[in-house]
This record gives sequence, C-alpha cells and structure tokens, in this order.
Amino acid sequence: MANTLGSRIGEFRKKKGITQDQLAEYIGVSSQAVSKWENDLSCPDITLLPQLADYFNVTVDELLRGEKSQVVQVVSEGERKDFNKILLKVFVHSEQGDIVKVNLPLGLVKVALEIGMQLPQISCNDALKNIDLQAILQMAENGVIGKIVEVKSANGDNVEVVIE
Amino acid sequence: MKIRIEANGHRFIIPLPIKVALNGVTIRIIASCSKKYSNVPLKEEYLKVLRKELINAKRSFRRLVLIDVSSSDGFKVKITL
Repeated sequence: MANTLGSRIGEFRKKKGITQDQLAEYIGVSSQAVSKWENDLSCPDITLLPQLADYFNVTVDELLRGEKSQVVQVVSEGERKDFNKILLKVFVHSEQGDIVKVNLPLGLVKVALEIGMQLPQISCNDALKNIDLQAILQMAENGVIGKIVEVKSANGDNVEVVIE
Repeated sequence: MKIRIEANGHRFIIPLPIKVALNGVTIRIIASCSKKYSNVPLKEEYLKVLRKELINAKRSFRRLVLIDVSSSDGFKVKITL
C-alpha cells in the first residue's frame, strides 16, 4: 500500500481504471487539483474525503491511513471481485516467536482442496490443522470479506484468517 | 516461482519456473512418487489443474508471497509466485 494520501488516491484511481479528468469531474474539482493531490503538492478538502472514499469503495480510514479495513462485511453480488482475484491470508504468530504467513489466491485453494491438500501440508504448521477451508471458500463465494477468524490463545499464540 | 531459504547465516534462492517445474515428465514423476511415499496421492490430472491454476494466479498476483515462514531460531522460508 502506498505511503502518502496522494499516492493512495492515485493507486485507487488507477485500480478503478479512470483518468484524473474523470475523477475531477465526479468530485467537482479541476483536473489540476487531482494532479496536485496525487503528487502530494496539496491535499483534498476534508469534506471531499467521504465522497472520495465512497467513489473508490473504501473507508475514509483506509484512504487516510492506507490500512485495509479488517471489518467483516458482505459484498453485494454486483460489487464482488472475481473469485480468482480474492486472497486468503492466514497469519500465525506462535508464543515461541515462530511466524507463518500464508497468502493464497482462492482459485488455488479450491484446486488444492480438490486434490486433498490441507493448510498444514502447505505451511508445515499444525496450528492451522483445524481451519475448515471448505467453509471459508463458501463464505468467500457468498461475498464475505474481512478478518473472519481471530484467535488469541492463553499461551500467547495468535491466529488470524482474512479474506481480501 | 522463487523459493528462498535462510538458515544458519546461509541463504539459498531457488528460481523455479512453474512451466519447467511442472511439465509432463515431472508431473508423472511427482504423481508416482506421491503414490509411493506421500499420504496425499497427487494424480496426474490434479497436478495439471494445479499447474494451470498456478499460472493463472501468477498472472493475477505477480510476485505474491505465497508462504513466509520464519522460526524463532532464525530459519526462514519464503515462496514467491
């Protein structure tokens, strides 16, 4: 994720596949103003931030901080991403200091499940053996995104599962 | 695909092109080896689908870190698409 507000605006605009002119027209400012935002020469007016966030389909927090919202939400059918472009992220931080990060495209997870593979075989970590990937796939197919699992055990292990 | 292994101050980077690593011959070898030695029998047709899906994933997520494991004793494994 980009570091400055301007670079994030530029990144979201490119992701949406629109020009600076089109964004300027939607927001009601000049294209020079959008160019200045993206080059960090100026910042958008605070009252424009919700409008910008809605237009890019992100939260104001995400726009300002550059961090993905971890709130679980159900995306409507029309706004859903292509199934193969959704990522399943699993993060395990054990008490001993072992860290396992798994980022898998859901298309790949589906194929691996059909073969009969499970997460511990991929990541070599038994902490992931009870994760029901089938249920996670079903949730993703129904449009659920965000941090769907967060477990902090008494001995300090931390497991997070995010659909992004 | 790249596999990066770090252990005891040594670092190995193994470049592994998907189409080279999973070709007709290697798929047959993996399938027969998994049948003999692994508890997950990988059939040839499954491996072909896996190869196709890996290539598709590489197109959609270039240089995605698939797996990043770092243990407390300094051992690190990173698999990048």
